[in-house]
Amino acid sequence: MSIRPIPSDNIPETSFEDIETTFNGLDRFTVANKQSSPLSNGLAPPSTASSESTTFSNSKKVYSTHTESEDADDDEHFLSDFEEFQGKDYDNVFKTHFVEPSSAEPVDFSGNEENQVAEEKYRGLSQHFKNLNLDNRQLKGVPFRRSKALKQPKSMMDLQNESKPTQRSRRIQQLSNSRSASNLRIGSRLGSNEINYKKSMPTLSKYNAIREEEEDEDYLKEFEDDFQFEKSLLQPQFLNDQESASPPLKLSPTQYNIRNDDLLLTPQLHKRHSEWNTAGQLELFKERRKSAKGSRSSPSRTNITASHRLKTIKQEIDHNTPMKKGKMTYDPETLQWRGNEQALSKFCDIDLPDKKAIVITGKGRPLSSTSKSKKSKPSDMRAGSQQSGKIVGKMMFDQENLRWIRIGGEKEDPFSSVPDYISSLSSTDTLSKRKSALKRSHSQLLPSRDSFSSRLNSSATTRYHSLGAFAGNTEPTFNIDSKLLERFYHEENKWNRTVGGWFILGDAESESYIDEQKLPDHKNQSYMYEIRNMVISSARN
Amino acid sequence: MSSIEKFLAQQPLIVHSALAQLRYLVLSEGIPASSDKTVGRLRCNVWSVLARCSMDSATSDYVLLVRRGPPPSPVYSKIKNDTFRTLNTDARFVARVSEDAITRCLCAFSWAVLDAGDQDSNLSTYVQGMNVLVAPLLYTCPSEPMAFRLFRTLCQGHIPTYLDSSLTGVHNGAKLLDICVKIVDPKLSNFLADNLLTAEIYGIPSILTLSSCTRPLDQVCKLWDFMFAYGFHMNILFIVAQLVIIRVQIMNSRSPMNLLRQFPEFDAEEVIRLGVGFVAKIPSKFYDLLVRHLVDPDLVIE
Repeated sequence: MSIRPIPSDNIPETSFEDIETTFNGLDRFTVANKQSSPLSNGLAPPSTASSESTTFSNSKKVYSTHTESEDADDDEHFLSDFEEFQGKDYDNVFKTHFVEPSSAEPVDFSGNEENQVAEEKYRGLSQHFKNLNLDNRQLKGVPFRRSKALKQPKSMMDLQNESKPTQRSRRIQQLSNSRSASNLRIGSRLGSNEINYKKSMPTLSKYNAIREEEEDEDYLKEFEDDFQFEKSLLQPQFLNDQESASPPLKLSPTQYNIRNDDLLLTPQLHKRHSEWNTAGQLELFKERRKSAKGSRSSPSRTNITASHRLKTIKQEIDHNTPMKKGKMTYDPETLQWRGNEQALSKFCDIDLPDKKAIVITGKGRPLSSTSKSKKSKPSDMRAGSQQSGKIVGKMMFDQENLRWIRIGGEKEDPFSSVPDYISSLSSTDTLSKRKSALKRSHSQLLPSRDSFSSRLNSSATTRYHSLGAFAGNTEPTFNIDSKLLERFYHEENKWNRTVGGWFILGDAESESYIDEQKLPDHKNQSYMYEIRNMVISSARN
Repeated sequence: MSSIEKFLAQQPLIVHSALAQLRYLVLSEGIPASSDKTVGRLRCNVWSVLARCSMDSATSDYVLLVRRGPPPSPVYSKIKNDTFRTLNTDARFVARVSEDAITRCLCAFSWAVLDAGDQDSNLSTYVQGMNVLVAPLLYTCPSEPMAFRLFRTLCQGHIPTYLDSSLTGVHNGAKLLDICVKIVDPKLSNFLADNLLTAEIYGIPSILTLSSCTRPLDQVCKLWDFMFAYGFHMNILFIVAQLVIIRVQIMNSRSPMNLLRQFPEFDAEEVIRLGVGFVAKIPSKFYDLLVRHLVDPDLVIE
């Protein structure tokens, strides 16, 4: 098992992405060492201080300590790894991971004493997996973790889940994340698709050239061990979330690109890693953009320097790595995300002009003629809505016509006589009127049955105008903002405090005074003579 | 605190006599100069008290009218045609009064006239010159609703004949201006008559806008102080005074109309002093006409 020095040789000359790859390998073997012989593991000393190890030390001590040596991060890794397996074609997965190893040479556990324990485990487990494999061929799509046979090895991991609720929640969060760089690294530990991909690359590196079959066996064993972890770990977490929310996602192998993975997964196992260096094999790693880089596919590529090769690997990973985010999967071949076809179909309908839009995007798009033809009778709507739609109380949402209808269906549509404002609008009205209509909420848009002339007097139109003078007032000149209004009132109050007293008595007194004096003008213009009186009286003096 | 402020601050026992005292204070002391805002507020208070214009619920009334938006299109287009050039060469006015404010005020006035119908008077919804007439009010009053209320009081209560459909009062005012010039300064009157310059030709803007078309606006406000106190008929005599002040230039000018098209900047105190001095020269008969021409649409002046 002279594994460790090899990947460490690769580390210094690798790019960012490649460091991950090599470390994945490193991690993998580190974990393997931990599980098979914790004492010999020089890289990551297992933590013996964990309280959980003592709890479970009675049954399967070796196993449990391994589990504990996985810290919280490792648990998360496991979980995210197994997310990869969810909803995939399990036949392929099992073929990849279990069938081939079982047909390979039996594992040699002759190393040290502790390995003997692991050897027993391994045998038992491989038997398990064989049975499981057969079972799963019939139970396609059913997560294998549910099978009772696999529940057997459940150990502290179950308890761990219970005792670490916070960790679990963290894991779930992480699962929903997209495949970041760290995720890639994590996933590689268990030999999931990405990792295998990277693993396949070692044919180009010296790392693989040194490899021996024994190491492959070891790799297998460790892989299975990891797999056991996952099973017990994942069972309580994912089954709840995924199955309650929606049926497990079935992805075809083409979507997942497993065919490629199969070839490239673990070349070491096939004793023909030399073949991988052929030009034809390298074609698999070629980037798809042929126009610019077609020349690179020439056989001379085998002579490219290490750094160039690494670059190629990186590109290959970028372009061929199937990604998964939540229920969505990325298909690198079609460059599309899949998994939400149902949700998307709704929008496809909307894009068609004969459907009513949830969101009206194009202002200039003619809606009128087609919307009329599409409109269905109330009875049709009821019939259609019974298949699908939300129900709240006695009301049900009519998906097709995007409105709420009564479930019993005995009531007439109260809006049947009300015209559809928007549909006829787009055909006959001016742009400005259309704009004003669009300002209204969607609920105000009602089916149209009337002509344009009657629509002008319809309740929809009048209701719009009755929204207030503000609504029709588009000129900013006549919009007095609250700040200005506040100032107006402030000044008026100030005026009232200062000179309001001059108006309490009103003008009655002065008018009666004028009447008494028989002043020349009945319109209270006596004051206009005051100046004349003053001037004349002063002139006399 | 000036004496006018103090006087305004106390509630009058007898409004009629208190108003007479206030007029005298305005005539004798004038409204003291201070910061624009303070003097504006004080001046607005004085004007509103003198004009018997209560600002009670001025804001709510104004906002209701403004919310109705622009008046019917012919009126609104006339308004918009004038608002942007209202005293647009007066930097201080432009800085203090926005075109929107002028538009709002004039539109609100036209709505108010439309609402009143033909009951009271023959007020026009809008005539050219109203924009200039409202300018000193917007310039002075601390808020638009108060300016609007004062504007409405001024138009409906003080110079209703000036703003009827045929501008009856303005044309009568022009005739009275010719008469007053003839009485006050016969030589100048003859000169103008020789040049065929009647008040109809040169005096209409000053008459219609109560001299607010003449710069500077601050002096216009002082002139208005006096006119709010003693009557806007005095505007005719103030125009005479402005003519008399530049009479030498007019009579020496080869084209006197150029001088009269836009009166030169004036000093309000000088104009008021002269104008008040002319009162004694105006016969009682013509003084009556001066008073009546503002409000009597049936007045015929020969």
